[in-house]
Amino acid sequence: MIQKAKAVQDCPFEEIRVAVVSNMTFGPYLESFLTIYFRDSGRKAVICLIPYEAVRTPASSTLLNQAEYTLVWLNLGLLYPDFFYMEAVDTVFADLMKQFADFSAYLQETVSGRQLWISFEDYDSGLEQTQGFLYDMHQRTGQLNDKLRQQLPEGSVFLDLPHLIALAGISNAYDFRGKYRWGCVYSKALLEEVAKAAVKQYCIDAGISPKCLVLDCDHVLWGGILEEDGIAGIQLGGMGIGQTHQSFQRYVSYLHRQGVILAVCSKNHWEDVLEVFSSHTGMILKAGDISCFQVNWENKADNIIRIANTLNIGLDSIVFVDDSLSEIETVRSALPEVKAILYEPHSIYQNLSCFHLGALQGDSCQNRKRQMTYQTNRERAQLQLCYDSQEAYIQALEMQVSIHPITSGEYGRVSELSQRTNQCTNGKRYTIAELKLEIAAGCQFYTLSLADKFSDLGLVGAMGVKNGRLELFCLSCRAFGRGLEQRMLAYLQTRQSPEGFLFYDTGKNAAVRQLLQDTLSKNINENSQID
Amino acid sequence: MEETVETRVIRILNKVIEGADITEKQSKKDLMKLGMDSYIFVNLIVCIEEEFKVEIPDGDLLMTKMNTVRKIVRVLEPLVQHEE
Repeated sequence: MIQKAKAVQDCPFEEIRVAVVSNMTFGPYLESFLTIYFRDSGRKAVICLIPYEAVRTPASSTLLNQAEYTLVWLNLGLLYPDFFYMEAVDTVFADLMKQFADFSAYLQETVSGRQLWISFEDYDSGLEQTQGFLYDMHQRTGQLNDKLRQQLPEGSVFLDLPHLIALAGISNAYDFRGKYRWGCVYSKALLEEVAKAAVKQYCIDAGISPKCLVLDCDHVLWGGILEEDGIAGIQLGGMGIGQTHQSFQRYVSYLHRQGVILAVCSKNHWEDVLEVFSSHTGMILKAGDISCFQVNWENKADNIIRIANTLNIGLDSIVFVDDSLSEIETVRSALPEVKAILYEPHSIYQNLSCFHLGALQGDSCQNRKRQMTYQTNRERAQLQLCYDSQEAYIQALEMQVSIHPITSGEYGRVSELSQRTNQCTNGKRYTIAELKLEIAAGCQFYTLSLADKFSDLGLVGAMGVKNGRLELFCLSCRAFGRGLEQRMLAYLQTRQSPEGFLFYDTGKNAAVRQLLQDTLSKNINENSQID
Repeated sequence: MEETVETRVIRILNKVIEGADITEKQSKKDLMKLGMDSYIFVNLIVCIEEEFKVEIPDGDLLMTKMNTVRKIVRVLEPLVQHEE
C-alpha cells in the first residue's frame, strides 16, 4: 500500500494540498487511500495530517492556510468518552458546541480552501447490545450532528459517516485494537470508504465529471435483440429482466435531468430504434432526451468520435456503456480516453459512480437549455452547409447576445460554468461560496447569455475582473466558433480595461492563453500572471 | 535468497521514514534521530504487523523499546518464530 502511494506521488498531475485534522491516528491507510483516489481523479495530492490537539500551533496554521482542501474528522468517543452513556447531556452538549464553535471559527480564519467535515456516529457505543435496536438510540448523536452542521461556514461539506460505515459493514468498520493502542478507531476498510467519499466530494465541487453517456440499445436499454425479436419481442418493463432494463432507464433519465448529455450508439436499423423510442410503452427515455443518435452497422469507436464531434466535447468527457465485452475492448483499445463500461445489471450503478454531479443539481432550467442546444445542433450543422463562409453562417443563426453585470440569481450557473469548462477558459474555478467572497472583495463579474433561431442557449459565458486583472474568462463549448470570445473581451475593455490576466493550464486551453495575450497585449502585459 | 527479519524491517523503515536510507550497518542507530516520530511509529507498527502477520504485544509498543533496528528485530523474532 505504502509503495503504491509513494509511486503515485511521482505522477505528473495537477497538485492539490490536503490537510486532515483529526483526534484519531490513522496509521498509513488514510493518507495512502487519499493519495490513490486523488490520483485516479487526475490530482497529485500532498497530504498533511494535523493532530486536533496541535491545530492551533503556528506550523499547523501555515499548513491549513496552504491547503486547498481541509478534511475535519473528529471522533466523539475519543473527544468525550462519557457522551453515549450519560443520562442527561445538556451541559455536555453546551460544552461541546462551544468547543466546536471556537474550533470552527478558528478554521474559518485560518483555512483558505474548502472544508469537508465528517459527521459523528455512535455505532461503536455498544448500547444496542443491551438496549435494543431502537431508532431513538441515535437521536443524541443526530442532534449533535444537526447543531454542528448549522455552525459550519457556508460552502462546507458535511459527509454522512454512518452511511460510509454501512458501506463497509459495521462489523468491518472498526479496529478496536487500534483504538486502545493509539486512537486508531477505524479499520482499513472504513478508511478506504472515507477517502473515496472525500475525493468524490472534491470532484463534485471541482466539477470533475464526464459530460456524456453513450448507450448501446440491445441488452442495455432493453432486453433482447431488436433486429431478431422485433419491437413486440424485446423485454422492457413488467417483471424479471425487462424490469432491470426499465430501472436502468429510470436511472439514466435521472442522470439526464442532472445535466448528463445522452447519446445512443447501436448496431441496429435506425428506423427500428426510433420506433421503440417513440412507441414502446415501457420506454422511460424518449427520443427527445437523446442529443445524438449513431445507429448504423459501423464501427462503434468511429461512431463515438462522430458523437464527440457533433456535441463538440472531448473524448475524455464520454462514458460508453455496452453489454458486449468485445465492443468494450475495441473501444478501450481504439479510444483509451473514453471510459468504457460493460453493462451488467448488478454492477452498472456502481460503475456509473464515475459521474460526479452533486454540484449541478441547482439549475434545472439551465440543464434543459443545455440539452436543447445539443439536440438542435443537427439543425445548426445543416444550416452551416448552406453557407460558404463562417460569417454568413453566424449571421444566419440570428444570434441574440446579452452581456451584463452578474445578478444574484446567476451565481450558481457561473460557478457551474467555471467548473465545467475546460477548453475556452482561463482555468479559474469558483464554488458559489468563493464567488460570493470574490464579489464581496470587489471583483466585478459579467455574464453572457445567448439565443439563436434554433434555441435559447442560456448563460454560456462569464468574466470577472478585480484590481485591473482578468480573474475569470470562460465560454461554454456550446457557444464556440461564433466570435463570442472577442465580443466578451471587447465589452470588457470598454468598462474595465484589464491590464493582465490569470491563467491556469487545464491541458486543453492553450488557445485561450493565446487569445488573452493577443487581445490584452496592448495593455500592460507584464502584470499577466500565468500560474 | 530469502530475506531475513532484519532486512525486511529495514525495507519497511525505508518506506515509512521519508528520505531514509537505512542499511544493516546502522542497526543500532536511533531511529528518532533519523526522523521517526509518533505518527511514523504507528505507521511502522501497522506495516510490520501486516508484513509479518503478527501482533506486537502492547507492552512493547513504546518508541523507546523499538527505536533501533536491532530492538525491533528483538521484539519480532520470537513472534515470527511462533507464527511460522
